[in-house]
Amino acid sequence: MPTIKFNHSILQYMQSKYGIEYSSDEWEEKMPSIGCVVEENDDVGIEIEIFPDRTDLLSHETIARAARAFLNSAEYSPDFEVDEGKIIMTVDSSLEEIRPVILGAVIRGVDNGNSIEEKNEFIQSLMEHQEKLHLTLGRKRKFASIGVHDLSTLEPPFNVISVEKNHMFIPLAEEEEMSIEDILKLHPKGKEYAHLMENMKKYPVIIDSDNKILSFPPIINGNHTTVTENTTDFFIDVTGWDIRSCEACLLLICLSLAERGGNVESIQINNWNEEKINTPRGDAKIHKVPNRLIEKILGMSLDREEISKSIKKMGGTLIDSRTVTDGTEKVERWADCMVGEKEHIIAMPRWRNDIMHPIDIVEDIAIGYGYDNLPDQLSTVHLDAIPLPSSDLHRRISSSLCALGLQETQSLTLSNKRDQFEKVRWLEKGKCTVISNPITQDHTILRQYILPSLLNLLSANRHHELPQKVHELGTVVRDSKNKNRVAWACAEVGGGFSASKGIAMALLRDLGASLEQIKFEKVSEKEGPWIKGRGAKILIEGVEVGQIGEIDPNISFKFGLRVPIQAGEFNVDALGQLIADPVL
Amino acid sequence: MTLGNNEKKMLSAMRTKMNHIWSLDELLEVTKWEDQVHIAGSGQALMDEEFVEIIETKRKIVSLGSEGDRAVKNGLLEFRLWSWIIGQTKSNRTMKGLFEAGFERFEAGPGVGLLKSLGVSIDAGIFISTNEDQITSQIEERIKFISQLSNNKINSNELDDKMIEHFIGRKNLINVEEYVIREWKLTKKGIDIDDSRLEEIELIGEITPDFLQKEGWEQAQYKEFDINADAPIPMGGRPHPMQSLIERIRSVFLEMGFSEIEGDYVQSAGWNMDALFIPQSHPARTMQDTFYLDEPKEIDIPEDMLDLWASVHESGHDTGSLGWGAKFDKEESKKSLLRTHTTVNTVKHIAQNPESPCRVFGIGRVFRQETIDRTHLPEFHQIEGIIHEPNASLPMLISTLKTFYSKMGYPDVRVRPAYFPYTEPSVEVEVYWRGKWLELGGAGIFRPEVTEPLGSEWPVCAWGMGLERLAMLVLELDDIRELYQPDLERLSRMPIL
Repeated sequence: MPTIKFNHSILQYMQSKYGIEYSSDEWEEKMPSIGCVVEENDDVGIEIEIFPDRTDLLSHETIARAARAFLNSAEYSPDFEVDEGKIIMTVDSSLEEIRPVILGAVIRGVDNGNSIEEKNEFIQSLMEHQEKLHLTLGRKRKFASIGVHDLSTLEPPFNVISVEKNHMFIPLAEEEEMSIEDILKLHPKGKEYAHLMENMKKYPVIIDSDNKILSFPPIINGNHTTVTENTTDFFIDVTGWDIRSCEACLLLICLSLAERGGNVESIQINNWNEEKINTPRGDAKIHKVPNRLIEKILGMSLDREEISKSIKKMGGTLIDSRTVTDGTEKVERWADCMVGEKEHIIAMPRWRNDIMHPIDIVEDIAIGYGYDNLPDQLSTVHLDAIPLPSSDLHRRISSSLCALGLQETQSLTLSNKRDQFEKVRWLEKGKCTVISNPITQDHTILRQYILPSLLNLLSANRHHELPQKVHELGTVVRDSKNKNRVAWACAEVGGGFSASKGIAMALLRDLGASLEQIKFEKVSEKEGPWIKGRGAKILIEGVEVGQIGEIDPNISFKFGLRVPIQAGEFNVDALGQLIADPVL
Repeated sequence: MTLGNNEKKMLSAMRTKMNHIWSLDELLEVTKWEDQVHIAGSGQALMDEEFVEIIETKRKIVSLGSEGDRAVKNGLLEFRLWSWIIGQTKSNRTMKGLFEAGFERFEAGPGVGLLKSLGVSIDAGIFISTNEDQITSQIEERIKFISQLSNNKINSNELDDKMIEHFIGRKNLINVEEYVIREWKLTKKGIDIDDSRLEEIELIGEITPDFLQKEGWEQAQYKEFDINADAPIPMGGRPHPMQSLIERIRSVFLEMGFSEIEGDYVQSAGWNMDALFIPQSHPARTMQDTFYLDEPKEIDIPEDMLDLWASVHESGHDTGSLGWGAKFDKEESKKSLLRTHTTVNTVKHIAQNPESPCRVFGIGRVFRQETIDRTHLPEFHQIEGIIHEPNASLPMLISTLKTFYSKMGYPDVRVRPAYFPYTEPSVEVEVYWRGKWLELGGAGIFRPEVTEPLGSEWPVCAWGMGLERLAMLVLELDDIRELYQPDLERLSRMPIL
C-alpha cells in the first residue's frame, strides 16, 4: 500500500486557516477509522497509508479537508464552486488520434504561504500532489497527465495542436531549445515516458496566442511557465485518454488550490467536433441509494438522521429520503429500488470517482457510522461442515511417514525441466505447465514429480551428518490440473533398495492395503533415477501407483550428492482410489 | 547424603596422609584416575559435604608475546643499539650515525628512551655513558630473561619480579596469564569419618536385560547421574510447521461450520481477475506481478460469460454500476496464468452454486512474480473463507472474523476500513499478539459487479490472509526460505505447531 508523508507544519498551516487545531496524535488515533492508517508520527511529520481508491486524499490540502469533516464535523457542500471564466482553449482535430481528452482550469489568488519557507513548501507539495495523481489516477500518465503553469506568463487564448518531431522549444528547467525527438531520446522525463508516444506521427502541444509552447503532454511543460514563489494565479491543463481520470485529476488539483483560498474559473474548450464544454465541472454527483441496500449491508436500519450524519462525515450530503414512485416493479439487482420502497438521494463531490455503484455510498455510510458501532451477528443457516474427501488420506500418509522417521518438508511447486525430467530420467506426463515470464532458469515450469525437489533439498544439506530422511506430500500439475503425490528420500548408510521397499510396504500396510494385492515390476532400463536392477514399479490391481528404489550414483551426482540414497514416489490420488479407507 | 564411590575412593586415598595438602598430580597418582575431571567433581562434592577443604592459589604464567619472539630472533632493541654504540669511536656515536647504520625511526625513538633509562645520555647529538660495563650487564640480564621464555611458559614465582614488571611495560614483549592452582586437604570431619562409611558399593550404570535376569537384582544400587549433563536429542519424523499451521486453521474453519473447497493453480485471467471486477489496466495484472503461461497459452471461457464480463467492466451491465469505462479485451480474459489468490476458487464456487447458501473455505498456494529473498517467495499460502447467504452482511462478517481469530487463539480483534478491488465495504483485521497489534488479514463483501453476473443475489462475506508471515512470526524466522528450502537441522529444531 502506498504511504505518503505529510509535514506537520503544512497540515498545521492548513487547519489553522480554518480555525482548527491540528493534532498529529489525534490523527494517529482516529484517522484509521476512515481507512487512513498512520504508519509513522515523528517530529517532522506523519506518514499515512492511503488506499488506492481514495485518490482524493493525496495532498495536504485535501486530506486536511477530509480530516476536518471526519474528525471535527466541519460541514462542506459537495458542490464545488467554479466561476465562469473567459479563457478559451481550442483543440485541433488531429488530437483525436493522439490525445483525445483535453481539459483545463484557471485558479486565481491562491494563498501560497507567508514566509519563503512556506511558499517553497507549498510548491514542493503541489509538485508531489501532481506526481501522486500521475501515478494513481493517471496510471503513470497513460490515462491522464497534469500540467501546472504560472498564468501570468501566458497569453490566452490557448490552442492544442499537433507538431512534427523536429519541432523545437525550451522544456522545463532547460536553457536551450530541444526538438520533440531529442526530448524523447535525451531528456530524463522524455525517456521515462517515451513509450507512451510510440508510433505517433505527430505530437500534441499546447500553445498560447504568442505561439509559445506551454506544455508537451504527457512529457513536460515549457520552461517559461514555471511556477515560482510569486505565483498566485495558475493555469492547469489535464490531458489523456481516460475522461474520468482526467476530470478527477483536474478537480483534485483545483480543490487543493481552492482550499488555499484560490478562486476557480472554468475555461471553455472548443473541440474539433464543434463541441464546446466548460471545465472543470464542480456540481456534486447525485446518487440514489436504496434503503434496502443500506439495511442489507449494515444488517440494521439507520434512520434519516443517522444516515445524514454518517455521510456528512465523509463529505457528502443527504438531500432527500423518499418513497419511490417511479422505480422498478420488482427487485432484481442490489441497486434497484422498487415502487413503494424508500430511497435516499445523496450528493457526493464530483472528484470521488471511486463511487461507481450505490454500494460505494453504503460503505461511506458504514465508515461514517463506524465499523465499531455495528451490531453482532452470526450466520444461522444450517450447513454441514465437510472436509475435503482427500483430507483423511493425506493425514494418514503423513502420520505413517513421520512415524517411519521421515521429516516432513515442503518445497516450491515451481521447477524446471532439467531437474524434473532430464536429471531423473522421467517423462513428461500429460502437458507440462510452462511459464511465459519466469524470473529464474530454476523456475520455468510447474513440477510433475516431487522427488527432484527432495534431491535438491538433500543437496542443499550435504554439509550435515547422515542419515537425512525426508518426505513431502504435495501438489504437482499435469495437464493444467492439480494432482497429489508423495515422495521420500533417505540419504543413509546401509539403506539401499530393501530399505525403500520396507518403507513402501509400511506405508501401504498403514493405509490398509492387503499386501497380497501389491505387485512389483522392474522398471525398464534408463527409466527413472534408479540403479539398474534396483528400481521397481509398484502395482495395485495392475495399476502403477508409484516407483521405489536405490538412486543411481550418477543421478545423485547430477544433484551434487555423493551419498547413498534410497527413495520412492507415489501417486496419492491413485492410492486413494485403489486402497479402501479402513473406516469406510 | 551417601557418598558416591568416587568420593569414597578419593576420601580414602586422602586419609592415607591425614594432614597432607594434596596436589592434583598426587591425587591422580594415588587414585589411579586418568581424568582430572573425577578429582574436580569428587573434590567439589566432598567439599559440599565439608569433608575436604579446597585451597586455591592464584599463579601467573609468563610467556613471550609477538614482539618478544622477534626480540629473541633479532636481538633486543637496546642490545642492538648498544652494540652499535660501543662499536663506534666516541665522537661517531651520533643520532645521525644511528640512522645511517640502518636503524629506522620507529625503532630509534623507543630505543633511545630505553638507553636513557639505562643511563645513557645525549649531549649535542652524541650518546654519552659513564658506566659501560654496568649497562652491558643489565642488557645481558634482560636477554637472559627473554631467552629462557623462548618457546616456554614459566611460572612467575620462578622469575625475577622486577624483570616481569619491566617487560610488562613494553608492548607485546611478554604475556602474563593468571590461573588458579587447587589443592585439597582433609577437614576435621574428613579425618574423623568412620571407615565403614567409605566402603565402595557396586553401583549400576546402564541397566541391561542380562543384569535383570541375574540373581540379586532387587538389591542393586544405581548410580546417580548428573541430571544437568547434555543428552543427545533424537531426530525423527515430524510434521512441517506450515502443514501444522494449516491443520490448525482447517480445524477452526470446520468447527465453525465451513466446508473445504480446492482448485487448480492454472487459471484464466478471466476467472482470476475479470470475474472479480479487477480492471484490465490494473497494475497487478502486468507481467511484473503475475506469472502468465506459454502452456497452456489460453483457457476457454464460455462466450456468454465473456460478454457479461465485458459489459460489466465497460458499463456496469445491469448492476447499476458505472463500470470502468475502458474497452474490455476478451482475449486478455482467456490468457492463462498461475492463480494469484485463492479467491478465484471461491468465486468459481459461487458461480457454480449461485442459489445455494454456503460457508466454504480454501487453503492453498498462490503465485506472484517475485524474486526470492528473505521476505519474498514466488509462491505462498493463502487461506480464504466465505459466507454466501441471504442475511450475509458487514456485521456478520466482522462477528465471524472475531470468532475465527479468537478460535485461532487471538481473542483481541479489531477492524477498520480498508480497500480491496473486489470488495465493498472492505475491512482490515488486526489481532493483538504479544503486546502489539498485528495486521492479520483482509476482508470484505464482494462487490455486486462480482456477484450479480454470477447469478447470485446475496452478499458474500469473504476474508483471507497469507500464512507465511504468521508462520515466520511464531517461529521467529527472519528468512522465509527457511520454510521451503530449509536447513534440515534448523527445521528439526523448530517447534511443532
